[in-house]
Amino acid sequence: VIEFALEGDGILLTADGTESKVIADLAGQLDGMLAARIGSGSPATGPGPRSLPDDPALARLLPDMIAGDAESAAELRALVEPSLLVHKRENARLVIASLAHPGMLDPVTEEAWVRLLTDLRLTIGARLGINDDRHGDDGIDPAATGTERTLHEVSAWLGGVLEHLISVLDARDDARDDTQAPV
Amino acid sequence: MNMKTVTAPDVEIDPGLITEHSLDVPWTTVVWNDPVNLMSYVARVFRTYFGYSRSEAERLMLAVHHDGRCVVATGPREEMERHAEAMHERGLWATVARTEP
Repeated sequence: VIEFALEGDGILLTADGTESKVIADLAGQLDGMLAARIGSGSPATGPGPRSLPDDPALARLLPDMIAGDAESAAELRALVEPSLLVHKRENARLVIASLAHPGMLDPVTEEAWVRLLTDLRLTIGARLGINDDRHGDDGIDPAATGTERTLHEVSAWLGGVLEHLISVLDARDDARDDTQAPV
Repeated sequence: MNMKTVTAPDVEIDPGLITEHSLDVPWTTVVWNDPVNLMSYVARVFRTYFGYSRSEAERLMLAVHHDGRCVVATGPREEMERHAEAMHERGLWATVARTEP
């Protein structure tokens, strides 16, 4: 079970069973991919690598910031990528920690959950070669079999978890707007 | 002829606001469509990060979805680069570009 509930102004995470284990496993795998990128020349400090990652999943998580100008894109990547990598790894770490001890989430961990779920779905989408809207937002390709089908199902499930979390966060924003609205 | 001369007005602008980039052509932040990100999430990012209203965030999200891309901000290059980086932190695919002349 993975469930987010509005408790006062905070978000209460309930997490156990297979669902909790799957997300912790996937977060650990993503962290490993990001760590490998650092190992291959993107240090935590100083300029990072200048080229787009070869791995399509990493390339989607760390895309070029300038289209059609390779030199400018390379310069900007060297400046920006190291901190992006650190932050994405931190999201994975915070989510894994919150799964180990579910309960009220601090605001940083709330946002880490949103971003980690998004990055996991982008990674799976890249692995499956989803590059058009053929499957819809979360449709499972009926032709997929084996590992591919499992990844489709995991992505659709993660999409449901994220949609649930977004709806809870949006509902809290609505409540805050109501409180702050002039009488 | 009696020509009266006119004195030039004193400046009333804070010179600190003139930067070396004041006359640059503005840049844009462009967000690109992708088949994975949830529409509710993209709208939420536009609302919470850029501060757009719900209806404007929804409009921009739909523009990205239907047109494949949408300009979500315009301004100095450095600011647009910060926006694109913030989008990448959140898993949206964004680039910066000089505005079309």
